[in-house]
Amino acid sequence: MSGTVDRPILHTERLILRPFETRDVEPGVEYLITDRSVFMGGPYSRHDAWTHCCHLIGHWAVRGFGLFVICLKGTDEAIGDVGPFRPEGWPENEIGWGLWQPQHEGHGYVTEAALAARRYAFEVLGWETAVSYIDPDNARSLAVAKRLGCTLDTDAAFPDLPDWDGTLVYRHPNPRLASR
Amino acid sequence: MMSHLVEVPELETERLRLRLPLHAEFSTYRDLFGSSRARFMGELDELRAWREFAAEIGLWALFGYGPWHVLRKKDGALLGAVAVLKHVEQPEIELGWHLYDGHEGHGYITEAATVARDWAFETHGFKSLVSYIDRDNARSIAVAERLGATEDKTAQKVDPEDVVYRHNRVMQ
Amino acid sequence: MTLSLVIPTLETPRLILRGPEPDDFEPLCAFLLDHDRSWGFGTEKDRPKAWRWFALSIGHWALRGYGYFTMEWKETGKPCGLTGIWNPEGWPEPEVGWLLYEGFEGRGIAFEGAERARRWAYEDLGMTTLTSNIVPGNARSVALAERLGAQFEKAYDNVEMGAEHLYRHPSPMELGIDPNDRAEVGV
Repeated sequence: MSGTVDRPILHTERLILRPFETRDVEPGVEYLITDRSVFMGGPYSRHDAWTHCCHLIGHWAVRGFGLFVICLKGTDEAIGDVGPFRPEGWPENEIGWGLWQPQHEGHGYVTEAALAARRYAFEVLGWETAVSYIDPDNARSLAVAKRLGCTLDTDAAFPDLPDWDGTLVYRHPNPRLASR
Repeated sequence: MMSHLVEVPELETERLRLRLPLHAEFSTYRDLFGSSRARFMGELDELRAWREFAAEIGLWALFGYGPWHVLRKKDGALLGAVAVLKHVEQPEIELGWHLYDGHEGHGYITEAATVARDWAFETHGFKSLVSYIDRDNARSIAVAERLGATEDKTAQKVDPEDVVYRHNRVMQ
Repeated sequence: MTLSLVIPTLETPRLILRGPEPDDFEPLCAFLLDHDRSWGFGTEKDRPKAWRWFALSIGHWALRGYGYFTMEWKETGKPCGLTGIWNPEGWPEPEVGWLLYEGFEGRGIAFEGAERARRWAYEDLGMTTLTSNIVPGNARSVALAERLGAQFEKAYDNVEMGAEHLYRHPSPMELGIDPNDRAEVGV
């Protein structure tokens, strides 16, 4: 992690993760208004997409942490987001992720980013446990969760929101307990 | 925390999009570079290719010009590269290009190089650009001529095997 | 699209470690062309080649997210050398490297800078090990590496430099660096 406590920057082999910022609203909106965001409650109207992105920025201000955007190393353009997420109403801490453009699929970027973000959440934020809330039809995200070593937790609650029935809760292993 | 953010302009033509080359695309660059240089040691190829790739990208930060990768708008395919370059051994500002395998014969490079050239003239105010082309590279010479460049026999060469084509800015 | 060089500014008692700037080229070029000074680092045979190395060092920051800092001597604000983490394609592992410009040797400056860069790599980049590649016979560099706690590990053939000795630095834990125990970094 580099940067500052308020504005952490995570480095992975191919990626830079930095906090969601105002210049990321535009690519975020462009993603949310498409069908690709269906597992996140999309596609959204432009207004709702904009509000959602503002939420992600505000989350950092209120919580002191939030979703990082994923940038290919050497560039500043957000191609997705990943990281610690706990808005009001969430029963527990979540690690979320999303890749915004189809051409970035299939390279392992999400797994690479999620590993770094999760390590940050556990080691720097001091989380003891974390989950990911995943739509049962979201095969891609289910695959990522498995690659991250998550296990299905059928006892865990998920946010009480419309259209969330049937959401699967995957629990992350604590990297501090796993062998390096 | 200092972050150097350098705006690398994206250029567009009817069929093409030009933007900063990505590290993920290095393998395509290396495959072409290695084969065209025909070096003895494969390992050296990779190292030299990476250094060239990295050095050209560094030019954007230093000078505000450098290489673009050329993508086909229709399907996002990576076609080749065009670049505005100056390495110290080159006496002038260079307009360079290369095509990746399998994309010959469509006029992509001419189209991409045209917009890159015009951008360089307009944005940086250069009066002319040169292209250093191996004298046996008929294809590249044809591109240079399609771009309206003419051979400049008096121009200083980088490699004795080169011919130098000059692109003059046409004042509107 | 935006080329993003994520380069912090670091500080030591006598130095500022910062990203490369165009004006850094001249003193660097003088060093690289001077074989007596640069044989251990990598001599460049002419100005154009030195230039290419300089541009490469900037591209390295973009592609790797780390690279060589310019060391600025606080007293004068002028560059006194380079230090940082170097790992171009073909290198066995990332290494801590350093070079000093004329007039700055013999005062522990390279040590101060390299130690700071190494700490940054461990604390901020999350690196868990680092090496230094030293040309056989470079006693000065060996002394510095050993002062940093590095130990000879093996001889190997470096793609660019030929025969080299790989020294391994102490791990973060051995240096008492806990990546999670971090104050605000940067200037």
